[in-house]
Amino acid sequence: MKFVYMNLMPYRDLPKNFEKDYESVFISIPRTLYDPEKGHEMYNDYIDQYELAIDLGFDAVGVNEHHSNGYGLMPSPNVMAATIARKVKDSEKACLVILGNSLALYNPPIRVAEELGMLDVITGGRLIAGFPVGTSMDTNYAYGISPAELRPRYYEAHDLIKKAWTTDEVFHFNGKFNQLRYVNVWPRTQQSPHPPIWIPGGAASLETWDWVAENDYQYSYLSFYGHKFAKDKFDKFWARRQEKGYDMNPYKAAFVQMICISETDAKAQEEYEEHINYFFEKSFHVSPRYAEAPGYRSARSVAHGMKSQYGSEGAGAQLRKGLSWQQLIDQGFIVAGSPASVREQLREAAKNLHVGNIIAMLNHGSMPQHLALKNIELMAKEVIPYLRDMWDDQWPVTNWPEVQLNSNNKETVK
Amino acid sequence: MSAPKIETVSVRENITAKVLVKGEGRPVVFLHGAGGNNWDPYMEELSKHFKVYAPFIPGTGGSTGNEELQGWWELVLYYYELFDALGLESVDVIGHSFGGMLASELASTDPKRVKNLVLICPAGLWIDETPVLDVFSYVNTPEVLLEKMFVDVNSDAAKAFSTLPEDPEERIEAIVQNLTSLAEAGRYMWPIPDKGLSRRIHRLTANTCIIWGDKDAIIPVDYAYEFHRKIPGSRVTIIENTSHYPQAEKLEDVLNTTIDFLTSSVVAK
Repeated sequence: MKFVYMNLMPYRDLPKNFEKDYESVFISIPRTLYDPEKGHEMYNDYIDQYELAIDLGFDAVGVNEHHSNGYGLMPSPNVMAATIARKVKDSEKACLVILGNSLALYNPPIRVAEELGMLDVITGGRLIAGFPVGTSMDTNYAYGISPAELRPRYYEAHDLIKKAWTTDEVFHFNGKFNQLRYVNVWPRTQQSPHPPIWIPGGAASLETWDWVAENDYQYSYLSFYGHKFAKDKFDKFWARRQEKGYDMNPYKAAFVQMICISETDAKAQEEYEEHINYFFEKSFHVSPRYAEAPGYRSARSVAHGMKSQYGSEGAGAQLRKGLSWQQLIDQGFIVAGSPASVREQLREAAKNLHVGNIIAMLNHGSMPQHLALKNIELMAKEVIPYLRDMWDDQWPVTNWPEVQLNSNNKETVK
Repeated sequence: MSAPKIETVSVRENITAKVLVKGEGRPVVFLHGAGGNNWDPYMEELSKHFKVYAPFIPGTGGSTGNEELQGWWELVLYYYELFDALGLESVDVIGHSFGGMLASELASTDPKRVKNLVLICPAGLWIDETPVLDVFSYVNTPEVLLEKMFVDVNSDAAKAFSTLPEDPEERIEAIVQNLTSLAEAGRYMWPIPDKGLSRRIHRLTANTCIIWGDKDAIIPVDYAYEFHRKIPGSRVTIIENTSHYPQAEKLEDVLNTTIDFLTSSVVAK
């Protein structure tokens, strides 16, 4: 089992009545609510969190991309990745996951091939490249890509980056959206032919899963609803892999889980409840105006009642409305309690979902730094060591840099 | 009101158009807005006077070509080819909202293809001080959108616009049609519906009638005067107490204006 420490980098000091007084945490959140002096402290605290996670032996640290957003302050994931790249390099075997670059937003997309190449070389081949489509808010509204063109642009950018990483000669690229006479990406990636590729996404279609499998990528299911909500998605994901004749290696998938650990179950509630509430109340406060542009998903899936995870009164808010701390745990939104409780919940979740990678969110909403550090430390010392071996007697680690492979790999490779 | 005929027209080897056709006599092309090609009482009434051709934009209503055509320029060429296929060398064109943006462009790029032009609250120009509403961002809140589209949300016109079929399958189909149309129009309007018409509109020679709701909450009435300024000799009719769908809110007024204009301007030429 692999553990990725992930921090959304929330602005942790939004006004108390933010969700009542303001339209949306995404796109239209007033710029004046951002205090750069507090922001300075937050960024540096969050970087400290990443560094602690690396020191304490997380398998990787992950960064992501959001724009015009009050709960995710990494408009450039690559800047943050660069900030922690040297720490990754100096660690025993931590890796760096970019979860990732929304490919349609990079012009020209070889910028991604270049920057990730730099990071792979700086870290000594420890990079994992995540290529999400990106949310409708990020792509259609903040970055102005038309919904009808988003996916074609994404796939074209993907093909270009992949070709740039695997072609030794200078080549031309005559695409629908990108024309380049000379593609020749320096530096080459250290990993050969290129870093492992993960495809992070929300509600993916069968077509996406097939594409992930055909390319031998890893699929990271990103949602804030936790492991029980994810169950149905993963059942379909694995059923599809089986149907198509692919293996069931749990390392082919990851899921995101919000986790709160303290000395006892009661103390966990005491320490974290307010911050979890802050997260759900404020981060789910996305105006339906920006929640999903027409054409972001196929009209048919929308019409059949598949909800987007965003939108103030959308699925997210509806699902968690009025839930108590215990209900949040019972319904899997959060994994929380004493180390023993958390171990048990996580083991159960990973087993149920048949997933080999847990993207652990340990810094929630308004949490103070000392509590985040404590959460990271308890996770690293009291939880991870007990779950680490979970799949290793059965499956080789895949879609990770070489430093993280297991004994099954060595047998299969050599 | 009997349903229009749906004609299938081969525009190119790999592109097929679907066109609603009804009526006899002089041909008039109606270009629909971003919400879709919905045969409404205005079009029905027009078809009693003209032969109305209402093509679906590519990718909607069974028409193809949305993946093949790349960008606004190729869409314009596609419409000329569709006119050719329909035998319309120089024709009267009515465009509503997005359809008005398209109609203006068709009349500007190759002025001889459009004889008389009726623009009902068209998109296509941009004024920084009075921006066009980002209508796409209201699709998830239909009740707010309805308030923007209509002055009186309780009017029959507003109800006809907002009522979905009761049959679950027809209902899903209606939503799919609407979202598909918004996405396909969005291809050309996103994120700002200004694709350079202001630099080409001086080429336009068609007799032009601009119709606008005085309370248009989507494309403010200021744009009526902006179009008027840019199309010398055009006439402007402001329909009082209407918003972005004046031909639904004040059917008779818009219909009379349209018919008067189209019949008199022929005499004028």
